[in-house]
Amino acid sequence: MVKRFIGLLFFLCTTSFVAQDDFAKKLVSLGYENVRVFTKSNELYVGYENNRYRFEGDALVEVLKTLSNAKIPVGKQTHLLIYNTGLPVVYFNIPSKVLSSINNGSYSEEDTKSIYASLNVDKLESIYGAYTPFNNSFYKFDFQLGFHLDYQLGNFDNGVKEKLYARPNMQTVLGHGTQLNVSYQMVIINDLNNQFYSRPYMAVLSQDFKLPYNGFINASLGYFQFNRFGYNIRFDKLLQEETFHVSINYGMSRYSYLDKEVIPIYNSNQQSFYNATINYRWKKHDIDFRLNYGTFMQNDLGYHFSISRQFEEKFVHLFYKKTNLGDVGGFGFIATLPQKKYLKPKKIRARLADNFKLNYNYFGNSIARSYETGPSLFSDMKEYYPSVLKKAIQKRLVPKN
Amino acid sequence: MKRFVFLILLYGFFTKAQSITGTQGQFFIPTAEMHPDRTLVLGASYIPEGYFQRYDQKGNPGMPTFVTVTVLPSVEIMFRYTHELNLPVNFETKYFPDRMFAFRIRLLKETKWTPTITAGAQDFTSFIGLSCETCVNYGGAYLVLTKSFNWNQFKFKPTVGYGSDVLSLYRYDFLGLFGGAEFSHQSLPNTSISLEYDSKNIHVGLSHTFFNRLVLKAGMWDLNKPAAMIAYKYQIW
Repeated sequence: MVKRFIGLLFFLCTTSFVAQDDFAKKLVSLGYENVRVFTKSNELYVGYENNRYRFEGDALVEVLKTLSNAKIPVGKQTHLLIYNTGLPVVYFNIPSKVLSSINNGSYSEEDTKSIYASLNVDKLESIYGAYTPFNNSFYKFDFQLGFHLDYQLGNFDNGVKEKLYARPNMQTVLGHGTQLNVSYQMVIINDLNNQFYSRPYMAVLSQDFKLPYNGFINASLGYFQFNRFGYNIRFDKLLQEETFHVSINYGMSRYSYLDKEVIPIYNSNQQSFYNATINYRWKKHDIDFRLNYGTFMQNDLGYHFSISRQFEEKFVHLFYKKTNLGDVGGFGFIATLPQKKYLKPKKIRARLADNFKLNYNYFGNSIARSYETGPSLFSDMKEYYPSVLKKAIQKRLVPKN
Repeated sequence: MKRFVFLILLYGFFTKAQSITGTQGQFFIPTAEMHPDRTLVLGASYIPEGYFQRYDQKGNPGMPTFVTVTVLPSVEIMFRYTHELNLPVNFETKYFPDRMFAFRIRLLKETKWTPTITAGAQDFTSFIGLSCETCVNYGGAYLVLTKSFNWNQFKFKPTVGYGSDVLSLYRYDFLGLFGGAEFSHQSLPNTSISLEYDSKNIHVGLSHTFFNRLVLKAGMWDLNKPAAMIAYKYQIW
């Protein structure tokens, strides 16, 4: 009798282990990285990083569908931890009933409500950290092609002057939160000025740290946007999940860039920048009310207020900026390029850039300008907000009538 | 097969119309209805010579081009560049297309007994000091009511509104009482005809939405000259 019981136990454990292993392999075959699948106290733990789907919501839904189809004996709940550049970002607790609903096509709003999601991942981090991930995301090189448009309206000699650039970009993750980003700028159309040559655009080494209690630090060094060379340090903190966000930023840079022969051109005057931001998010409609105060690129001091609405990975916003140089107001958008799913991440991969940004100044001059300091974990954070991901699950999994 | 293609062309969910001005509306007048939340509309229209007006001049036809977003379930924002046709942009004409904002907020959603009520304003930036007083070409500040009625297989949607000079704008598209009605039949839910009075002229229009997204509208401005619009609309996610 005892032998039979031990035999049955061994059989169940072996079946469960094989199923977990198959599920991990399936996630890797779908292109997910930093995959961890294990059981602890009879509950299933899954971790992954998405660099396959443009929008994190699409990636999460694919994982949930795969999980619901996998024959893994799970306990009452499944734990899901999503990573970015090897750092844990958001946690989901999925009741087994939800997986059953997905599997039999009866997913409903009640299922979404029963999912617990949080950005507080500190406790989970140590549990997952004990397991080695499959398909590491480090030292893989992404070659991205993006576009940028500068324009000027209203001149009587040419009503719409434009300068369109192609910006090929190479990005790689060197370690947990460490990224190298190098981009080049090629002029495609130009009736705005007489600068037709192509040249290196940005070269940034950045490091992200995830602190306890939803704190984030990003430090970056290199050639930034708008011909700035220097370093930048930013601290971000989320309060009450994504409802409130505060950040403090400090940077020091000088006017400098790499010319077409990759020779540094620079001005020796150093300039320091500091600013602070407070942001409130109306989670029901994914709307951010953001106020930023500090110094800007032309040494101007003032504030920048914006209201933006997120539509998954797309954004529209209204802004008003006022500094000691004047004021400016307008609107803008961030649209995705038409590629929802990239090739599987390999050592070298080609893909389109994440998005295309355009701003329109309705009135005022170009003041209160700031420069981008390369990729950071927090710049992608809005796609990982629990409220955004839960809406994405709801939209994709509830059967359409 | 032809019948199948025909049915596909007529099939759709978006029965709400798009006006020539760029906001939700009948032919030219705004209605109180709103597109579903997160709807983006890109479009262009044609207003005939003699009726298109820019700085008190009516010598050329006009072409408004617009982008409209329902940023909240009850809030719509529209940005428009209005082009005067046959007028080149150069130092001689000193002409550049006119731009404007429109903002609409739905105050009450239609119920069995009550109409939809919406307040809106357009080309109002002079009121908040962002453009010169005489720069306003297509001003408006209005309250509008729309109610749907079904009778047999017909749908009848009357609209009545009032354009006020509360913002003291220099020129108005709608000033005083305006109104109209839109008719459709259950067998052609994406097709409608409309008749309206915009506080200056009477217009008649025919509208059809293809594939839920492409809106075509044609009509007679002041029952006299042809006018038209084409717009593409979709929900951003």
